[in-house]
Amino acid sequence: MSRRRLEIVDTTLRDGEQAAGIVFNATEKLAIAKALDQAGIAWIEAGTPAMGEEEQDAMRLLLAASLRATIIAWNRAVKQDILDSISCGCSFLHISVPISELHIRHKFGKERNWVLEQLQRSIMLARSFGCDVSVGAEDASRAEAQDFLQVAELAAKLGAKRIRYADTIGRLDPLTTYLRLCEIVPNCPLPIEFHAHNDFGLATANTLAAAQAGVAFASTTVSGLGERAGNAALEELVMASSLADCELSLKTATLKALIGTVGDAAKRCL
Amino acid sequence: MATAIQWIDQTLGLGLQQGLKGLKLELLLDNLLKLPIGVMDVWIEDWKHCGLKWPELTSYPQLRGKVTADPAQVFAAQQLGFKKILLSYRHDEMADMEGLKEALRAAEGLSLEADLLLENASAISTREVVALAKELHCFSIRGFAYGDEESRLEPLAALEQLAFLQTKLPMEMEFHGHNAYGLATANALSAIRVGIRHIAATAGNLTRNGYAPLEEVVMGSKILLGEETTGTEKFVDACEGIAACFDAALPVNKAIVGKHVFAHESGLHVDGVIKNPSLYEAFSPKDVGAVRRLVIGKHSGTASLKNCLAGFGISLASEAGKNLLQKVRRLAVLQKRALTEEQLLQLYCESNRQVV
Repeated sequence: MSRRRLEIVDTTLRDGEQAAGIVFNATEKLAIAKALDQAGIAWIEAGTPAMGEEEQDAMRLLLAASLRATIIAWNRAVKQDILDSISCGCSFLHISVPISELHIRHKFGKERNWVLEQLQRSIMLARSFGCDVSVGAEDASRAEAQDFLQVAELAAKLGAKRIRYADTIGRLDPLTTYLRLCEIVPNCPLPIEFHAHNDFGLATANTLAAAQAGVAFASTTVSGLGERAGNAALEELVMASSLADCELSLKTATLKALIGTVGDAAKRCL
Repeated sequence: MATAIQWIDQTLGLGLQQGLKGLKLELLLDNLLKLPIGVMDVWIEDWKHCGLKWPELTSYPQLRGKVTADPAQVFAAQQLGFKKILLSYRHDEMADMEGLKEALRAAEGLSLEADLLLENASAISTREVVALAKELHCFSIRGFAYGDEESRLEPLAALEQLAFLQTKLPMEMEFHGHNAYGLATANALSAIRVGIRHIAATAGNLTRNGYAPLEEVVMGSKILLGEETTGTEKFVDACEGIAACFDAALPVNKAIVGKHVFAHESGLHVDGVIKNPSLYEAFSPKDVGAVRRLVIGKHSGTASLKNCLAGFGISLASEAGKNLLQKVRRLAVLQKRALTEEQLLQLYCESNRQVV
């Protein structure tokens, strides 16, 4: 079996920081971004500019640091979110929409078409500023495959670079992950990024299964920091990938320093 | 209908290995008995030194004495009062097959219920495992436990190998997976998927290279695989108590039982959980004896502030909410932590005074 390549999109600075009680200030964000960059991570999801001035200042600081990694700003499919990101100078935007029936109805009280329209407008707005876009399909694991592919096709048509399959509440197990993505990957017009949550302790295993099904990108956070029980831990995925003939191009020697940098900044007080 | 899964605890064994005695040991046992555990494995050598004696042992019918593949150990287990034993065996060039056979013969002679644990099953081929089982076929071995002591398995390979062994082995199988790469829970779920009904686990996450966390495998099998499981309501309480016996604390983000796994801060999530908890929770906190908390911090949205202030009988207008939110975020970044309710109230009162 040939070795599969898996590229990391690290979201310690966005989803990691969203863990209750965690706050990174701009200086800490910069230190973590530099450590991620040194570890050879090419994609850093760094924050949500729509949150306000502090976050926007931090984004500007990261963008000015001339890292090799691409800095990604997280957005809802909302005009002001996109404009906030662009005003920071971000040129790679992640735009997230929920795609499960449950989320669309209970969070928004809207129909699927409304969500698709919001997404379309948002992607077009970002593209009109020359930005690259990745689309996030929130709660994809509780949606139908065809709903995910519908969003992927729209996103591809509008020039998006990739699409995130988010297991938002960590509801998947490895076999289900593998079977679902084996069905989706060959029919998806965009490269897929798998985004796992650890509610049942399965985030690493599910990410591995997604890679085995042919997914090209994986979301991680350092030490598995993130909402609730957290995300797939970067260092665990690095170790476990060897068991599944999976290759991550990372400088593992730098991981310890990276974990230390995040650990210092992530001291939790609640 | 499949029989209920039997959970095989390794926590007590770990406690004895670490020399827990007296009150701590009793506390550990008390906490373990709150959990849906069917069997508790303990090395008989550790049991000898733990201070509990034969009469105590009979009050814990779950106990299974773990011994090496040595007839003297089997006799010792019987002397100590064990009725059930687990023979630990490693199959390699150094392996003493004859010793194992003698030990099995001894167990038969003493009418002990004997299970065999092949500690390094994942390090040898499934063909070899089957051959080994065939060679031991003439002995009365109740259960055959598949061990992954070096954490070599990943979930898809586990499915394939264990499914094959399930069809080939004449004995009932057990699964003892280890967690060096964080895959033990997933591998245990693979074992359950292929029909294995005896699963080894440790409550909490007490050692780096331990077994699958019991709370994860139990809740995963229940919610994700639809297995019938009862007795999960005390998971948080028991796991905290167990960790304390080991002078440890559960990581705040420990899946299922960590303090923060039902704490929500980000605006989107709090707004969602208020509307419908299933938007951002995989199961109800009540299922495991946890409590939901909504935290005010850097990632809060106006819905969080409205919800929190409503608890004090204050109704927050939308425009005022936006202003207050900015102050909340600024303070959270400044103090590098979440806000207390008092801090939120204070900010609210200050901004109201300015308006007046």
